[in-house]
Amino acid sequence: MNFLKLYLVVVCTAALIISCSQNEISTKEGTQVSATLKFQHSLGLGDLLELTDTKSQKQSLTLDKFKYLISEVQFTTNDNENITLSNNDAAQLIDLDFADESNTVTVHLTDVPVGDYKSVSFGIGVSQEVANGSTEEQTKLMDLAEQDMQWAWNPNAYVFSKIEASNLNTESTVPTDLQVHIGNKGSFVGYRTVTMVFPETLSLDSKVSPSLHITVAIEKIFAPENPSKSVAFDAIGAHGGSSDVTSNFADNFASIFQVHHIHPTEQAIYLEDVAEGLNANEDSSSHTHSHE
Amino acid sequence: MKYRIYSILAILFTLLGCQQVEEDYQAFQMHVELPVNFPEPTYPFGDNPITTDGFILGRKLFYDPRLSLGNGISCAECHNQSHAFTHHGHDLSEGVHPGVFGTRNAQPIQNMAFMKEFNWDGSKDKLWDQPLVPITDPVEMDETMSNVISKLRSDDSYKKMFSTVFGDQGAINSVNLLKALSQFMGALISSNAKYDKYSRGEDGVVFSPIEKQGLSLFQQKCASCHRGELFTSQEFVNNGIGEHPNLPNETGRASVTSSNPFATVDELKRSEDYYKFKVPSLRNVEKTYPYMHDGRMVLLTKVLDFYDDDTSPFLTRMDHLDPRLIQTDSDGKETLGIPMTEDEKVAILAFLKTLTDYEFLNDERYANPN
Repeated sequence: MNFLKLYLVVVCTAALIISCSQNEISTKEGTQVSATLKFQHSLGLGDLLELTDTKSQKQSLTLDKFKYLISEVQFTTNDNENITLSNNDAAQLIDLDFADESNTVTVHLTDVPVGDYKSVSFGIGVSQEVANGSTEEQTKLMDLAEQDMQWAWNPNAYVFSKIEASNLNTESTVPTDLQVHIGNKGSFVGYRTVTMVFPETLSLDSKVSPSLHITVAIEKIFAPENPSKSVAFDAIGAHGGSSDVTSNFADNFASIFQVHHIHPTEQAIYLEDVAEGLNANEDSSSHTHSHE
Repeated sequence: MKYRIYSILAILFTLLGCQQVEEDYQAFQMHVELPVNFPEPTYPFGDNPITTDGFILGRKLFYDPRLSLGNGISCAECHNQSHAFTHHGHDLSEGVHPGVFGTRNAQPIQNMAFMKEFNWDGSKDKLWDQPLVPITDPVEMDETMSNVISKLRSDDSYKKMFSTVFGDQGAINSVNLLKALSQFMGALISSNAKYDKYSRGEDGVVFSPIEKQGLSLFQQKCASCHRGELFTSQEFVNNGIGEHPNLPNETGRASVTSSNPFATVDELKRSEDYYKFKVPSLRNVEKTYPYMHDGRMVLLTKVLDFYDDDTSPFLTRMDHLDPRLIQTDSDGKETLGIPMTEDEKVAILAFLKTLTDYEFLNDERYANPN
């Protein structure tokens, strides 16, 4: 009996010491950023956008709004193992309204295991599976949706992406503006998955927080590499349009992302040292450089 | 010996557990019991189990006007327990803005744990995020979720309750707020009407001859839509109600099933779901007046006059009028509605009143605790 008491005291004390020391370590160094995604968009808000309408005429518009939700961020190792990050950590709202002067929105990802990776994928919007699944897993997504990305009246309450632009045409008295909001609506499924293969292996470990420069070619939504999937900007949205066109729009949206290059050896940074939240665009710990 | 110690420990823990609940909440426990005569529930008990603490938090939120712009109205404003959580006599309801009305009749909140879709048009298919509609709709509470959250965060009693209910994940945020409301609504089960006791053979409850006749007529004439123990097939049907002249933007379920979020009324009129609404449950129907999706009929007798085939008001022959409401004779001539004599309507009415569940309407656990 005495032996048992002694044993309990020893175990409890040990547990206490271990838990205390662990706390100290974690408050000292914080949460390491596994990788930083820098979404650099081809346009900023207010920039000119040349688009083709249903009559094959060119129209000039200024971009007023461009924002999209990303969820289900997943890294794939060189050994083809998929690591899915929790939406409560990795889901983000990318909004050009909060981009820096180079139209870049920066996302800090944590909790990606140490290893060698070849690609990253994410969903644009929120899949039916996630929306109908665990409520707890939607905590962050629901908070993000409150930034004007919610269709409260829709079964899937998330808006996946929004693009809006004003037509500058002065000849027509009723020029068509661009306004497309995509979600899962009726039988239309707007959810798409983007997979980006890295130009080189991405090696994650405790000493580095590599950054990935991702180009986002907004105009490719309407003029994709495959011309048969081109979308006239006035064929969707407020004017209904066929579901083929809307489907092409969603497909094209998923094809505008590319990892341009990686900075593999940037020194480790900690979440606590960078501004909290999704709109952090300052990044003092990374070096400045120019893009070719 | 070992087992005896364990059982003593177990009893001790149980006692402690009970005591705590009693101290905090005047001795009541929320057990959701699924009525034996009901179908399988749709409520996700695994994802969001209904606990006493969660129910109490949900109830506090339900009765809290801070969920609305300017703290004007709570959910209970239009969902009043004594009328099976409908808006006591109102056809349409004013939201937080004076003189601004919604376009649909407030529906009862009962047996939500068994429903597949919510709202007249089925715009929501999950109970937990249904409250987004009334909270954010400009003609209802016209508030943003982020404002609601920040109001609640400044209230220490909410901080305590959220952490009691959700533990480590007990932050005051949208998902937890909605989950708590869902627990409250999910627990509101009406299953103890005279009809239930009669059909389960409880307490020696018997039907009078006219109630029995009414039940039998109801089964012949009404139950193909108002089916089963929930008294709804949960289908979306066009019941021939006809367009409301003052509500020209009403399109019913068409707006939900359209793939175009910007579809115009003219486009939606071409949908086969135009002016379709969910078949409402008839439980507590005596108390949920007025009737129809826009509350245009005040009396149940008028509803029966509408559905019968020979007294006014008459059904409107809309394109997708439900075929169960069309009788076609050998010459192909259509008669709209269901054949019912005046005596039969009296009997059906007597039966419908047996669906009133006074235990539900008067259950103090569901009432405003403040």
